[in-house]
Amino acid sequence: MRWWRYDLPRQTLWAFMVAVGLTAGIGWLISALDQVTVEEIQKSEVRGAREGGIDGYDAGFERGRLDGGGRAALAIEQLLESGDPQDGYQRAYDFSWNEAITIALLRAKRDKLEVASAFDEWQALKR
Amino acid sequence: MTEQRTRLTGWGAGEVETVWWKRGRDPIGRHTMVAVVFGVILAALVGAVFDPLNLLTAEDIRRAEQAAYEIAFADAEPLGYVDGIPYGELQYLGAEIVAGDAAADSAYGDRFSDGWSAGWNEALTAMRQTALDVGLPENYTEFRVLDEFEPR
Repeated sequence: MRWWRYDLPRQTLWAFMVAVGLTAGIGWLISALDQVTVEEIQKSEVRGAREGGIDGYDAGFERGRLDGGGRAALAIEQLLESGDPQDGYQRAYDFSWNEAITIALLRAKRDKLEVASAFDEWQALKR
Repeated sequence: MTEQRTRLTGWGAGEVETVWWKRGRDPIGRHTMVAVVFGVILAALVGAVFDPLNLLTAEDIRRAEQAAYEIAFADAEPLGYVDGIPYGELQYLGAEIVAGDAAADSAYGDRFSDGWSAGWNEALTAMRQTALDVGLPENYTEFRVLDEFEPR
């Protein structure tokens, strides 16, 4: 450790170590003040999964809806000429039935003020 | 070695033949400043790359939420697509047959229009009856919402 006897290396090394220590200390302080619990992480995962599920379903549904519209556009002529009328009735019936319930649920949930509701029963009516 | 510690200029002027680290203290502090800068950079780099403190912070919340979001998004998208296809088909047929005039002289179109109206109207009736069966008072939101619907 002969070099340690000289001022400049000692001074430089001390400055370096103090800078490292101070920076690490400040970094630790910032992290510690920003620290969160494992429970908060788990909650955020649940929140992310819920929102991802909703957004993913909506995005897929929209893509499927557009594709379905395209398929129907190709098939409508044939359906009108030779489609099974009873099948058409049933499909239209079920679609309108479900659409009415979906819209009613959306509006009622948005406006709901009371605790008691018939939402579960309405949901169960869907086909 | 430390005779020049009070001089602000000419550090090492009398010791030019001596290697820098054997000279007296640098009163201007150039070496100290360089060492501090390198120390800060090194500590910051190590902290950013290796995360040795490994504390859970708000950044971890964001990362965990984003990762869970992407996984759930990828899982749910195919389900939405499968449900969306028949919906899109029926929506298009409804717009063309019921709202448009594509159903003229078509038995399929006539029955489709009948089902379109019947399904809607009977669903409203069923929902009203269900709300009554549950025992909701008539001024509840459910009834107010149903009153806003026009029958088809």
